[in-house]
Amino acid sequence: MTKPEDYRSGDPIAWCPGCGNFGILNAWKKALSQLDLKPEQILMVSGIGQAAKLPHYLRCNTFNGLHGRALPAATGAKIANHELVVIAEGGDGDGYAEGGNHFIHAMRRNVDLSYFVHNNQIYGLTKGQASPTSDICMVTGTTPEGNPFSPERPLALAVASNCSFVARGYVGEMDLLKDLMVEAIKNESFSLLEILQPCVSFNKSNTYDWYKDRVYKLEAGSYDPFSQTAAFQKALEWGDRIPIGVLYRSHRKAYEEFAGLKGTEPLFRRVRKTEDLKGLADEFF
Amino acid sequence: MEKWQCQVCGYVYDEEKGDPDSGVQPKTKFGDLPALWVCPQCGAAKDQFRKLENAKTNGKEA
Repeated sequence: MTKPEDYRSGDPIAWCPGCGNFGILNAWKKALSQLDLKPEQILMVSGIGQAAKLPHYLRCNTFNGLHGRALPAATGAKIANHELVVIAEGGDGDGYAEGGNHFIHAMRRNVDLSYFVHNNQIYGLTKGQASPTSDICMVTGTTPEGNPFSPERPLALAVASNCSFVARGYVGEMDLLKDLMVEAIKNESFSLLEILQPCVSFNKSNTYDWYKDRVYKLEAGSYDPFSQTAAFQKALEWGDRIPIGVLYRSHRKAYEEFAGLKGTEPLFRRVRKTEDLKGLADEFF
Repeated sequence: MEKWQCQVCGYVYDEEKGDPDSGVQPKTKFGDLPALWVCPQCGAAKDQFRKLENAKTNGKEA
């Protein structure tokens, strides 16, 4: 049985004191321990940003690539080795702005990945510019007179895209967050888990107190996550009340099932000799 | 046994429970926590904690 400390890496943590990322990292260690996954069974892929540093602080396989490009790299890795548990991790800027196009198509392709987006409604690494999820009128370094743009609603986009698992956690509710991480990884298709995370240095609007007054848990008995209409309404709810929990689930076949990958030898392990390819090469030349 | 609350994020350190995920055993006094121990929820340092005088914290049970 693995323990949370088995996933501790030796890298010094370079987040500001007070950052919600600390809680996310600790929830991660608990979730991986509960799933009893060995570090070598996991691949964490990230792009650029404060959230994208997280894989450095976990002991497992990691790939840290280009800004907004975690999902295509994660998709490729999963296809090459479907035995790995593959997780893409990043922030709201990385995932919903630079990587917005990949986000939409990853949900459409439905490869068995988990995508964890730390949403702090600001670009933290570059010290406080408005992001796609910054609230309207929010004052930031790039919007000194208030953000004129309406925020994206990524969970509504995910529900509309019939994403197979759509959930939202909050770092101030760490036990629920850990449970959602476990559920997202167990789901055998593309899973989106958005994690609300205060940025104490650059977002002075959406603070721990701000969230504490607003987040509420969706209760399993009274809320049916298989209703797309209900989920869409919940996904649009923001402001005075913000739902956390599993918003939406759908029964969709993962890409791996369509492609017949399950139970087969992973691509990276298959040995092909040059003479095996001769017939194919002859067709072209 | 005392309870100490992080003034940044609201996390409560309960001496009774300790912080096993960070290697701190149950019944460890707040004052005996390692110097480099930080809030497991937000990474704030020990000096950001205040002792709770009763079991209620921010309207929630501690």
